[in-house]
Amino acid sequence: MLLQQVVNGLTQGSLYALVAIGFVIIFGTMNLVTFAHGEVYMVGAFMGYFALSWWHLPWPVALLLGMAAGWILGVLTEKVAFRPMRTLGHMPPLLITIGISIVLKEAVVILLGAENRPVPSIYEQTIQVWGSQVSVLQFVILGIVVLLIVALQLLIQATKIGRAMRATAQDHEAAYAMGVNADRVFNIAFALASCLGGAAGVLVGIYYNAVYATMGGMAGLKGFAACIFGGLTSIPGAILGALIIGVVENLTVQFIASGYRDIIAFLVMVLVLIVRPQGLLGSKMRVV
Amino acid sequence: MSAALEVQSVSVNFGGLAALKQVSFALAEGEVVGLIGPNGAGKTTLFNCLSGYLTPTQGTVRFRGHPVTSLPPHQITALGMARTFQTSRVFKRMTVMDHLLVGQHLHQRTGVWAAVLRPAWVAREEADARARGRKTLELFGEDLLPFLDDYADTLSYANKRRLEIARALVGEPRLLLLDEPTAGMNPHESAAVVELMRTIQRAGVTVLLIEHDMKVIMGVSDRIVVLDHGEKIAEGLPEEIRRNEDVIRAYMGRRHAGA
Amino acid sequence: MPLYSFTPRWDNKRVWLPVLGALLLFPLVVRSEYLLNVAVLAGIYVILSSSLNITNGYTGLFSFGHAAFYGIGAYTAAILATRHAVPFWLTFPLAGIVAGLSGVAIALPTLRLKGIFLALITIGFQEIVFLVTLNWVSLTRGPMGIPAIPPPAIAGYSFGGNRDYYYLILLLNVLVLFLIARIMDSRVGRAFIAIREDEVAAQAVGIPVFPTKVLSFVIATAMAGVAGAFFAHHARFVSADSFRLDETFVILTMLIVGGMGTLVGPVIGAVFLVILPEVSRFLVQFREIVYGAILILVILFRPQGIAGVPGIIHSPTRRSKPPGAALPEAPAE
Repeated sequence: MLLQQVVNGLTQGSLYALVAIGFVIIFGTMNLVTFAHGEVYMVGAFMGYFALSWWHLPWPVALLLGMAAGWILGVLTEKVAFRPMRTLGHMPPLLITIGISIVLKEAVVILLGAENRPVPSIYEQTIQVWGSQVSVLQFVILGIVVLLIVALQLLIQATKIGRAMRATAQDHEAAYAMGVNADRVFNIAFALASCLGGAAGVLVGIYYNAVYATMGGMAGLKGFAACIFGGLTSIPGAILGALIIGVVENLTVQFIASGYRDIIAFLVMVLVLIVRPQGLLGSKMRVV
Repeated sequence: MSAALEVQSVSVNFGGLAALKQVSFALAEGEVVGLIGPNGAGKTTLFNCLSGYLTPTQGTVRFRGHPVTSLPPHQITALGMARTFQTSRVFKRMTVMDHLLVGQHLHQRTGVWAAVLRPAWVAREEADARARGRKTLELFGEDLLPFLDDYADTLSYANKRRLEIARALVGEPRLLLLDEPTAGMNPHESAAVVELMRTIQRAGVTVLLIEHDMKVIMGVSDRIVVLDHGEKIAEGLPEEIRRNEDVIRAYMGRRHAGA
Repeated sequence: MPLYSFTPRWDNKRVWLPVLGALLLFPLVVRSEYLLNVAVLAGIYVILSSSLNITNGYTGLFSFGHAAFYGIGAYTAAILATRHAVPFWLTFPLAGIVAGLSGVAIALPTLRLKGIFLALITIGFQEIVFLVTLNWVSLTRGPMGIPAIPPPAIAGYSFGGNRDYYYLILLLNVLVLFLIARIMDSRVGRAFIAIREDEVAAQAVGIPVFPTKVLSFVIATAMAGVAGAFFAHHARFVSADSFRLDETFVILTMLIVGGMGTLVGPVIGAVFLVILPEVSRFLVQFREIVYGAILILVILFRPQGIAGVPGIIHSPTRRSKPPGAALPEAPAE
């Protein structure tokens, strides 16, 4: 039973992790926060829903479509919200992304309704591991998440644009002085983050067999809590935070009460900000 | 004469970097003391220690007998120390008059209840504060008075620096720390600041002054303290400092010493 | 010279007396219950955005948790009125006090943070308050909400149509705006603005920054609590769903669209955004999306809003930076 909950938690946590990594990438390269990330995840999820429920495409295609949708949305958001407002501090872009998130969410509600949309199941089998039933789907999801994260790491470490991103994250001014095209870096960073968010959305739809217009809100905030746990600029930290949140949530539902599930992420967020705002693995922020 | 300020063995370490090393000196009441040294010598760091923005890693600071080493800035101001900043920190969206009123924050008593209920003494307190503000502005001649109701971000650069000094002065401090008050000013404006400091000194205020403009320093200081790389390398009368080889070397590099 | 004075001209009787007169006559001229309801709603949001203006506009503290205090006030009034038969003229101030005390409790750990970190932690608390309210069934009846809240009653007369509520909310509006005007045009208000403009210089001038920030926060949350009490007695039903982050965004949008840092800004923003969707029956369904779109447009093209102090939402001490963001402030003092 305990193992079951832990596996559930890790699976859920891995999905939070994809969202959280998106925040880390954006904050790490641009020092800015987006509130629309949850809605990007939601749009990705709906894309997956269309691909699976309406067009009956195989799930890897659905995943890619969701990621593409995320990518496009990311590029657009960066162009509309961030590029014009980047040099004005963190608040204007944040406020615009709040507006974008409201518009996206309400548009989906208006066009498609607020109810749950069912997503067909895949991999319904379960296998016995150490006395509890673990579903194949969970393994698949965990596998995909790991794959995506590894791919991301390869991209960041081994490609030219990845190097540019790392340089920008370390020191904007030096990177700029070295000829790094900041516009391009930020655009790619945003697109990448949103692509991961879209992937998370598709996977969540598959995992829970449902998507709904308001699913982005909580997911975005929880992903953000995980990002804060890790110190806003650490990918491993965000992953760790997301996994912890996922596991603790499931244990809470099992052993305390299901209503308090959502509170875990916010308690983590608040506690980290009070006790150690730079997060567990982040370094002390530079003071302007 | 009692010591207005006693700095004893103040050291500040940032990680591995020693920004200040065992700096000690004292100011007597009513003195104007210049603090000079090449860029990066630690002068503003020292100001931050004196005014409570930084707690020294070692050493103590006593202001008129009170130990202030680890007090926060607003409490040190309450004891009678005021300061200006290297990059002028005016309140951009407040008027000149507002600056002078907020500079008297500690001399006023109006809290939320009084602000809401407005007993008679509130209006009197405001009127007195306005009058005191105008009087302080008179020290600057006609430079600031015409702009009483203008927002600080519309002022010229020199006026912004003057406003910062006015804001520090209106609270009637006993010790005034001025961080490069004439930076960016032309000689005419700098001379006016020198005159201002003499006026302040005559009123009994002690002044510690960071400056790069040697004419200003030599013209107004009773004594000079020299920092280099975080250490005090010289202290004395202006004429002595002018001839001091260590000081010359610090500013000019070794080759020019004794030239 | 900017068009609007930053300190409110509350003593300018020639302006506000006729406005007040028109407002007093309004329900005698307009009889439609529906329109009066819109007016009452506008009145509630005027209080909410004006109180948010105290922290976000005047003091420069970006709080994203306002709806939580609105909700705390509403639930306090609801519980006192339904379970302990407390009359409205007591539930209102008690709601304000409870919301204010909650404000202190939350302010203490959060106001040490700055900028984006303050925004995030207030969001965290906002959601925690919502979730606790939803789950503390013995106190709040959880997701069922608290129904059958009695309308306000004075000397046997129970509030009937919206006209009664209209006059009450008008009275509260006058009171709240009067308080804000007097507070801001005083030593206290100057301290708030100084903190917004430059915390470092504010300390140098002798202002104890942290306690002053807490004071600003408490005043704002207490007022939001009173608005909540009014909501409870007007809607006669409270449920936690009305007081979530979405609601904070609505209030914030009204504040930004109207303008931060002035007395009239939040008033204009609230009235404008409450009335706008009512202009056509068609538009009413799209209320949320209209708000979102307007928020985007305002930030892009006129960030100071209709009547706000320019530059407040931009980080105040930014020097020019290379393309890329401004660096965050240190998370904590």
